Amino acid sequence: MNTQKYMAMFLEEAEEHLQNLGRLLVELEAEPDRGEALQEVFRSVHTLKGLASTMGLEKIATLTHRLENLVEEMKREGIKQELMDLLFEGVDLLEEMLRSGEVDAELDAFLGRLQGREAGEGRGGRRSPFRELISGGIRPNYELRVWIEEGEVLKSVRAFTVLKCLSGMGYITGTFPEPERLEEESFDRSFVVRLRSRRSMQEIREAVEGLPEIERVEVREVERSGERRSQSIRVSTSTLDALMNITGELIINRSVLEDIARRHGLEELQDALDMTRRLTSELQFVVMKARMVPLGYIFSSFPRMVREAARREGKEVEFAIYGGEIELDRAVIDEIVEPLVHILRNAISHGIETPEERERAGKPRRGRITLSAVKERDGVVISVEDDGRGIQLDRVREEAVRRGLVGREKAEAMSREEVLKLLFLPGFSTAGRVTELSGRGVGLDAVKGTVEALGGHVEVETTPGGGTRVSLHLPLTMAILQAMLVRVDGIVCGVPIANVARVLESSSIITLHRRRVVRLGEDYVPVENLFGGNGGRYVLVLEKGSMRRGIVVEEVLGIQEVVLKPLSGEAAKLREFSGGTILGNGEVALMLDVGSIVGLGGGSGSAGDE
Amino acid sequence: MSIRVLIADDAAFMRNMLRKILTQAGYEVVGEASTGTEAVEKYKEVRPHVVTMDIVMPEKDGIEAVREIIEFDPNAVIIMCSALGQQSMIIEAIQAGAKDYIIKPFQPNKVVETIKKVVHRTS
Repeated sequence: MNTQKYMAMFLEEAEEHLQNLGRLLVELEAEPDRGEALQEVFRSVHTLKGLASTMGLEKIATLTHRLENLVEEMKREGIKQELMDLLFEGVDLLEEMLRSGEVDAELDAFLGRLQGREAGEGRGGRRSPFRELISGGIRPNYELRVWIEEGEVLKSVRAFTVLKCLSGMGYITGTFPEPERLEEESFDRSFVVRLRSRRSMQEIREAVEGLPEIERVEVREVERSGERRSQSIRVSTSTLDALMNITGELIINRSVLEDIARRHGLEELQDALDMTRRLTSELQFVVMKARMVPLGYIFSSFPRMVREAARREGKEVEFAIYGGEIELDRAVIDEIVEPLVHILRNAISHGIETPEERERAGKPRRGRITLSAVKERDGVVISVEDDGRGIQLDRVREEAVRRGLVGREKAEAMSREEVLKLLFLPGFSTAGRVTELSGRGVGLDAVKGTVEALGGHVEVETTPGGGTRVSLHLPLTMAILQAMLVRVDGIVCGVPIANVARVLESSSIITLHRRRVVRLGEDYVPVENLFGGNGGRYVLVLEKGSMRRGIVVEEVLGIQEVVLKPLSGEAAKLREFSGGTILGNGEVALMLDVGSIVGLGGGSGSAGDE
Repeated sequence: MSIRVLIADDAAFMRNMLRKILTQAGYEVVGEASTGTEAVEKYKEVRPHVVTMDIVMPEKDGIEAVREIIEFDPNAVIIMCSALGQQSMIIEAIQAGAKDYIIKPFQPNKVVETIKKVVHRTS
């Protein structure tokens, strides 16, 4: 029976069922009330089970049998997050088994978990009453942010009444922070609730506002990805890049024309160019927008990565993602994947304890990792939070001393913040042992480098025994900045336009006390030749804070929006540069680090005080 | 027609204080109970619009009383009275059907505002 020929047929049919299952589960997630879909899921799983046992594929038969039980449970008890997750996971696993076959360990772990569940029904005892109000596995259509009045003494209970009220109006699909966090009052004054409801936005807002001690409620509609999909087409990223580049060149070309019009006093041309200016900025805006990608695009690969990593480390981890709908420039998204993977791996191998260790510490066996993106007024904060053991400051001190990064006495005297900063030093690692996962690849120093090159910063907060949160603060306009492009000693460099105080002819350089300076109002600003070259037509006066410095440049090439990329290798060590960028014409430009240039030589910005 | 309230608390002092706050705010206190058992009986007898229910009471605690009252009348409006540090008990009471809570020591304006909001929401 088990011949090649039948095997091929089996695989083909199984593949069809898998596709069908994938589609159905997504549908079910969006519309949990669809009983037929659930019935169809059941049929598909059941057929697969039959096929597998006919073919003598025992493992697949066992897995499908277990999945069948899950679907049964769902029919009985409704769609719950936990069940939906398990089902998704099981179907994933099934897919892998059919394609590659080698997933024994993963299968055992999964079956073990199902068994444990059936035996203990949520071992670990009491389930959080907050968690009980969440019907996960459903796609929300509203997101609310609720602010509790200042001075409310029982914030968690107030949050509970909000959840209770909302659960009567639809399904709560999730909260941020997590329900358990709300319960233990680890939130400031506001929290987020995602809801699926047929009620109007107005009704929902009024219901929550009607509760005592609620200061404010914001409700917004969450786009449904299905609807978005139907209005979009796929465009290759290289096409978008080309579009971006052409737009950049167009803008440079526009400034060339503007220059000609100005020099020859051609008013008619200038007027026409005004219109061109408007159109090109609009074009630029649209292109930028087309490059925006929801974070979900990269987040979606993380659950599997986390699951894999946790399994290899022998940890149990529950992983939640928030804010996948927030959009960022694709270039930025590409840059942060690696840092996020690194941070997540850190959380799994160093943060989350083994199940036994957690039990001994009176924590649930399963650790929790939350990846969230939150849009703030001036940026996006992506954080990875775990409820693991936290960072042991003493061990960080020790390790830093051992590595000769800092003297013992100095280390002992360091404040908590200073110690946490040590983590970002190149080559630092506190891992008690180097694990397969986190022993290689980028370190936190690289994470910091990447994020800072994007114009952001990294923060670490930790509670011994309570967990760690690493947040990447990224500015909204991140990585894309208006830069003035200049040629210095034959090298094309960019300077953020915000740091350019003035462009002067180099004939305005005078010598004062044997120093070359230019006069700017009442001040004399020292002038340097950045790379020791001699001369150029212009002086670019750079400014940061109260510091100013002029640099001699050969040519001013124009103003362009550039996407900043971190430098690597030797170039990363040059402190004159903060990063690189690729220009419209494909040339590479280096971005000058204005901070270190104006600080060079130590002089103050004003040389005129005599 | 004024809102009719039943006060359940084992401490006479607390009952008096609540009675004073509620009467001043224009509510009509139609009954008092000093145990959970009594609260359930009184509820059936006077059918108030609102019950203020202390959590810790002799014989039958407030949470059990909530369960019995809700079983008798699923639309009963019960507000828990609790001291700080009883979060999980308030949550349990809310799970059992209580609508909201007020915190001891009582702040008259908060007590009145909470009752007003809850009554408005449930009417």
